[in-house]
Parts: sequence; C-alpha cells; structure tokens
Amino acid sequence: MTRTSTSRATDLAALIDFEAIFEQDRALDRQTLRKRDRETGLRIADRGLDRREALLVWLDERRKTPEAAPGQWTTQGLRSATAILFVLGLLSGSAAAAGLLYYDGAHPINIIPWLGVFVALQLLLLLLSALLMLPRFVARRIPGMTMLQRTLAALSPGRWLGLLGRLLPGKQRNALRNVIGRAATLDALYGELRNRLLLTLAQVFGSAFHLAAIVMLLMLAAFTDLAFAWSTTLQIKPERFQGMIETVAAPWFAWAPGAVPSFDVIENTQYYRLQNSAAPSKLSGASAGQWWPFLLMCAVVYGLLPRIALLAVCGLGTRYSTRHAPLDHAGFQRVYERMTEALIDARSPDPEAAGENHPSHQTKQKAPLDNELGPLTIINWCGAGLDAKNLKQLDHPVSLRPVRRVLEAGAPDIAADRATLDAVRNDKQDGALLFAVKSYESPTRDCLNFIAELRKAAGPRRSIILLPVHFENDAFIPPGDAEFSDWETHALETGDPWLRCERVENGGAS
Amino acid sequence: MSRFLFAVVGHVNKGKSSIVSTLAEDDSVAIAREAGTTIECREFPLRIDGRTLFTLIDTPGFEQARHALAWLREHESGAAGRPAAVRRFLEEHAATGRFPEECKLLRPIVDGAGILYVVDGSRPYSPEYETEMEILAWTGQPRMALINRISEADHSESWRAALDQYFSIVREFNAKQAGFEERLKLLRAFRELREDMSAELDEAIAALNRERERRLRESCRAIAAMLADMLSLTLVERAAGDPTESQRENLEKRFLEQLRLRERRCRDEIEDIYQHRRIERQEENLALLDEDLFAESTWLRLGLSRNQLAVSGMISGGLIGGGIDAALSGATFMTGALVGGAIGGVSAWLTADALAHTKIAGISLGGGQLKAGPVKNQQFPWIALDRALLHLNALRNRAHACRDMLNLAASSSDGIVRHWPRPVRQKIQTQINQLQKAHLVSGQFPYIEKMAIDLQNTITELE
Repeated sequence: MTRTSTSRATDLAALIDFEAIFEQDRALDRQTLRKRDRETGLRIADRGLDRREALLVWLDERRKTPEAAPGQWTTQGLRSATAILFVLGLLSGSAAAAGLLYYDGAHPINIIPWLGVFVALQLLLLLLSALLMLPRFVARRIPGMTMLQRTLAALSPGRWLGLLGRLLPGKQRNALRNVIGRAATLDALYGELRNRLLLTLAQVFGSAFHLAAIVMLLMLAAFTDLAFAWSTTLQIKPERFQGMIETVAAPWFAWAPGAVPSFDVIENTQYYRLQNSAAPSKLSGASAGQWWPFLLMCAVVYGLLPRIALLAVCGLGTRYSTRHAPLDHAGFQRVYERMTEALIDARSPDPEAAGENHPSHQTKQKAPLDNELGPLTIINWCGAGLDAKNLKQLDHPVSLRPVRRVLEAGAPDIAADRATLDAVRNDKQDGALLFAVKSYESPTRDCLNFIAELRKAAGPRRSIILLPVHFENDAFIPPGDAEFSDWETHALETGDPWLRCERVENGGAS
Repeated sequence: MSRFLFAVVGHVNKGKSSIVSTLAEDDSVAIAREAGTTIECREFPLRIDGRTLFTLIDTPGFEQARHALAWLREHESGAAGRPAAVRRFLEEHAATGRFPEECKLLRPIVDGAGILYVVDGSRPYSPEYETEMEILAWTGQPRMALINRISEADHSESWRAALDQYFSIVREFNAKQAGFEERLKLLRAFRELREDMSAELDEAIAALNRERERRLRESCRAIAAMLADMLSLTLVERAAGDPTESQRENLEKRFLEQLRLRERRCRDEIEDIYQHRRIERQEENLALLDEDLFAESTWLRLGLSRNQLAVSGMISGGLIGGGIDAALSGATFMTGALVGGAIGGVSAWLTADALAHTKIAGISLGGGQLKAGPVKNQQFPWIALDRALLHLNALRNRAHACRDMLNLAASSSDGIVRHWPRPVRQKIQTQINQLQKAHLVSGQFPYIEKMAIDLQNTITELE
C-alpha cells in the first residue's frame, strides 16, 4: 500500500519500524534488497517526493506484517505504560497529600512539609529537568554535565518503564523491550529523543501526582474542618515568615490576593507543640482555616502548572524530534540509494542448457595398435600440415612407417573431400590411414561426419589413426591434455574399434 | 526483448561464451575446453530497471560451415539474393536437423541481430575460417570481428589481415583479461556497428559507470564495517580460580578465529557485490590472500612500513595530546599535542619490528576472568585494510570469464596502503583511531561511513 500524500512526518512508531526492518533486512541477500527497494523507488519516481517522504513510502510498503511493524505495538505499549505511570502518580499524589494533610484534631496541620514538597522540591526538580533538557551540544561544553544528565535520566520515573513493562501482556512487553533495546543500541542516533521521551513520561507521573494532591486538598477542605498552622524548630519571627510567604506567593499575589495569608493569620497560626512550656499560642479556628487557598495555589503554581507546561514542551519536543528525525544514518542512506539507483543486470534470465554428455573414457575399449600398419596414407584435415618429412620428427611408432601418399580433406572446397574418399575407396592396399587434425581445433560435426565417410570408404577393419598435431614454423608442438582429451573422447564416441586416437609428445607416444 | 540484438558467433571453442560471460558479468556461463559446451542460443539482455537496452546472444559454434556455404551457393540468385538464400537455408533445414548448429546461430542474425564474430588470435589463421566469414557476409547484417586470445601466442596480425576483408570493424578483446575500461571500449565499438542504437549504448555506458561507482562505494563500506567490527571485537571468558595457560591459549585462538571470520565475511560480501559468486571454491588456491591474516610474511609485506607507522603513531598520539590542549583551552600552547605525538610515534616505531612476533590480542588475567581484545596493535588495522584492498583490486579488474585462481598482480603483492600519499594515510589513521575509541557499534556508525567515503575517494583518485 502506498500513501498518496505528498508531505508526511515521521512518528515514533515509524522510527521503530525503520530500525526493526533494517534489522530484518540483514537476513536478506543484496540482490533481493536492491530489486525490492528499486521497485518501490520506481513506483514513486514520478511523484516528486523528497527523501523523507520517499523513505516513508518505503516503510509503508514494508509494514505488511505485524512482525515487520513493531512500532504500533511499541507505541501501544508506551501508551499502556503512560497510563500505568499516570495511575501510579494519582495514587502516590493522593497518598502524599493525605499524609501531609493528616488531621486528627489534636494538633493542627503543619504547612511547612507541604511547602517543602510542593514548593522547594518542585523548584529543585524543575532545575534538574532543565539540566536534563539541555541539548547535547550545550551539555558537552559544560564539564561534568553529560555525566549529570545520564545520572538524572537514570533516576527519571521514565526509567521505571522497563520494570512496568513486566506488567504488560506478552506482545506489548516484547515491543516495549524492543524499543528500549533499540534505543540503547542506537544511543548516538536517538539518545536525545530517548531523553525527551523519558522526560515526557516523568511529567505524566508528576502531573498526576500534583493533580491528585490538589484534588485531595480540595476534598479535605470542602468536606472536613482542617486547621493549619506553621511550626518550625528554626527561630523565625512572623514578620520574616510573612516575607517568605509573600515571596512564595509572588506569582499570584497580584491577581489572587485572597490566596495570600495576611500577617494576622500568620501571626495567629504560629504553633508550638509544647504549647504549655513555650510561648502561648494565639491559634484561632478562623485563622487556622485560611491557609488552604495558599496551599492550593502552591501546589497548582509550583507543582501542577510547571508539570503540565513541561509535559507540553516535552510532548512537543518528542513530536518534533520524531517528526524531524534526520533519517540519515547508514541504514536510511542504503535504502534510499537502493530506491534511487538503477538496477543494471546483463545476466541471462535463462539457465544454461546442459551440454553433451560425453561418456567416460574407460567405457570404450581402445582399438589395438596393429604392429603391421603397413605403408601409411596421411589424410590432413583442414590443412593439419602432416607430411612424410615432418612425420619423422614425431616420437611415435607411426613415424617409422613409410608414407605412401598424402591426401587432403576439410578444405573450403568440399569436392576435395570426395576426391580423398574416392582415393581411399579405390586403394587396394591395407596400410593404415593416418588422419591428422589440428590439435588446437575442436572436433566439429563436419570432421566427425568425414571420419564416418572415411570408415565406409576404407572398409570395416582398416586401421584409422587419429593424430592431433600442431606444426608452427615446421616445429611440432605437442597437444595439451585438454586438447588431446577432446579428440580422444570424440574418437571413442564413434564406437569404431579400428579407430584410435594417438597422442604424440616430444618425449614419446603415450 | 529489445530490438537491438548482437549474436556472438564463431567456430567451435573460440571463446564466444567467454566474451558473453565477461560482457554480461555472468560467471554462471559454462566455459569449457570440450567442444559443444554451448548447444543452444542463450540470451543475455542488458536491462536497466527491467528495461532491455540490447541483448547479447551466445550461440553454438559453426560445425558444418563448408557444407552450409555449399548449399547457399547452390541456391543463390545473385549477390542481392544472398540474405534471402540464408533465410531459405533456415526454412529448409529447421526441420531436417542436418545443420542444427548453423540454424541456431543464423536464426537471430536473420532476425536482425548484429554480428560479433569471435576468433582465437592465439592460434594461427587458417583459410577454412573463410567459409564462416562468407556465410556471415551473406546475411547482410552489420558485423564486427573480435580477436580473442585464449592463450599466450599472438597471431592477431594474420587474423586481422583476413578479417578486414569481411568485417567493417575488427577489435582485439581478451575475454579473460578484459577490465572495465576494455568492456566500455567494446560497447563504444558496438555504437559504430549499430549507429541506430547510439542512445541505448550511451545509456548503457553511463549506467555501467554508475554501477561501477556503486560497487566501489558498497565495497568500501564493507571494508570499513569489517575494520570497525574487528577493532571492537572483545571476547571474555570466565574462569574458576586463576585462568590456566591452556584457557588463555584457547581464548586467544578463538579471538583470532573471530577476526579471520570477519575478514572472510567481508570477502564474500565484496565478491557478491561484483557478482563473482563462484569464486569461493577457488579461494583455497589464492596466492597471496590465502596467506593467513596472522602469517608472519603477511605482516612483513603488508600494512605500513615502520617509518610510516611511526608517523601514524604520532598522529594518534598527537590526537590524544591535542585533546589535552583542547581541554585546557590551549593553555599548554600545543605542548600536549607535541608530547603526545612524540610518545605515539616512538612507541609505534619501537613495536613495528615486533609485529610479526607478538600476539595481537591483549590477554589480561585478573579476577578469574580472561579477556581478549579489543585489538590495540597499530599495525593490525593497516594489515587488514591492505588485504581487503588487494582482494578488492583483484575483483574489480577480474573478468567474469576468468575461471583461474584469483591472481594478484606482482606489483601490488607488497601491499597498497604504504604507497598512499601521506595525507591520505593520516586521514585513514585518524578514522582508525576514532573507530578504536568508539567501542559501541552504534558509536562507530558515522566513522564507518566517513572512512568508506575516504577509501572510495582515495581509490578513485589514485586510479
């Protein structure tokens, strides 16, 4: 299936699928891959797609089986993990709020721990998150920053993903393992994307945590009678504490003054556990109940809103990273080359036809070399060049025989063949026929047909000796093994017991 | 099928199939000394993206040319009627089976194929061949003669004198030794033969040039990936208590075998890229490349010379020192680079002589665990690179008709890299260092690509 859109962006599933298919392609041979990808390239050649779009079309064509498209399962796995993190965030947020807002009527609720969790801790976490989000090229320039980033990433709730994955069904668990594994392998390529993904998951958890805490605060404020106070071992006067509270409340001081406790409330809600042994408390029920809007705004402004903002930034960042992933490592480059480079092939699409099946040499019996060869008749095939004079050069028993006549055959004029055959037919002598051929030429049908005619002309029992020779500048060149074997094989295949192929070497006959 | 056909014809066993095998880069074509290896016509279409530009046709050899010509002469009705006589010859003898080979080889010619007539220039010319030439002339088709020298002797001149009488173009083409340029030259000659297919031939030549470039690029990638793989190889073996000497030897043996395996895989890949798929069975006979990666002679002959290695050592030492300089914002006034370079250079120079005698793998004892690798020896990557380049060179220039053992030219038997200009060696050394530093495979990705590009550029520039 090919997409017809002309502009598409990558998403996380696409990046995962690309890597998974690159991995699967390693098992395929080069030619198969070239053919497959070039076919895709040719199909989209006239659509004017850019490199990224072309690669995405390629991906669509490869995503035909679930095995080839683990991205979908992985993103489903990620969604499930996100949901689990959200639920965990809700649970831990409501547990934390319930703990911090625990009120049994004996002692008022101390707002300091709440401020610690929802202001001080949040500011610290925001700072760490900002450090984690520093782009790689900036982090590299700050000594120790890369190591700090790695440590922070390791502490991120996003890292719990692997553990949470164990809770998922088999297929999704495998998909999640796959994406974590691939991300680790391709750290150099997708490290930044991975960090953004982990940050996003961390913000999901954080947002849920704060949302639950806020809801818990509202519920307790609405349905129960809470009494807040502030209490610390440090010697802080109400005036100074008011300054601190106003600093904390600065973000909403102007537009929600009701959520900033007055000096009277601060002064009246200072609380000492050992009231009887310390300064008398002016704690009043009306003042003690006025802290909750401030606490609510602390959780919203320092907890929930930054988390939501970070979630949006990270979500957009992840989206941007995936949409604009460079798709430029070797795997993408090779696919794109295979898609765009022409397939050139000049090999035959048809298999080679089987050649003639020459029987083994041992299956035929060689004709005995007759000691009484008599005077020889030499027949030169295609100007083999053997005559009475150069026959004497050959270290072979036939060279000792007298030569009665020399005939020619195989010349361009086939009339000469007929004359030679007539001469043999009319010859009443029994001397052997020495049929000389050029050793470096292969036996042709023409030659073998002539030998058959020669047999008819010579009679059934007259010896025919097939002698592959090669004369150059009157010097004899012995036949090579393959050359002689070629002639010998064809001689044997005639099945003629009185035809034998003889090999002449300078050192003697075989 | 394309309308442009070339029939490769000739006497039996004169190298027709060899020429087709080389031109089509098809090493599956049967080439044998025995007559009658090719018994049927076989088409080799040159396809670009499935579109055929022209087709080479391997044919059986002439077997009864004299009789065929005699028949034609008996049936000729003047010079203008000769092509018709050839057609009639085919019509009459297609069913009789009297001239099976002549019918098969003349059929594509009568259908319009250009003629590539092949003779063996290493054997003396003989007038008997004129009957074949005469028949081909009778067809009236454009024809070119190719003098293919199967063995060492040279009778080309006598052949040329005869062939000039019958063929408008005569070229020498040694099918078993023809390199890429010779093949292109022959294609350009085809253009002279068939002017009406100039566009197709130009397209084919351009595509073949691109293909050559692509193959080199892919081969360089394979070599760079092999080096990266070798340099990051580490084997770890747990041992109960202190590891014994035999365990240490066993691990070292396994480590070296893994390095060899990576080299063999790279060779297979490059042979596949160049479509030399049947070369493997001959590999055991390789003259130089079969020498073991760790044979002493290999180490003495290939890679960098001791002085070159010292210079390379200075580069890597200088890089480390340069890193110190950079970290201190240049406060050392480049002293770090100079000192690092000097240390690197001296250490490389001192260890170069001992390369053939020292172990490659750094085997360390400790904690009941044996570890082999990664390779730290500075000469090793150069040796591996040199061997890969020798193999690549041999393949790039190897004709597909060549079925002999892979033979390396004597001039390159002492290696390639030491003849590279110093800036090239320095660039490659830098990339080797980066590959060694990037332990993870993922970290090596960019350097593999960079090295592949540099290797390709170097090979192309030095050609």
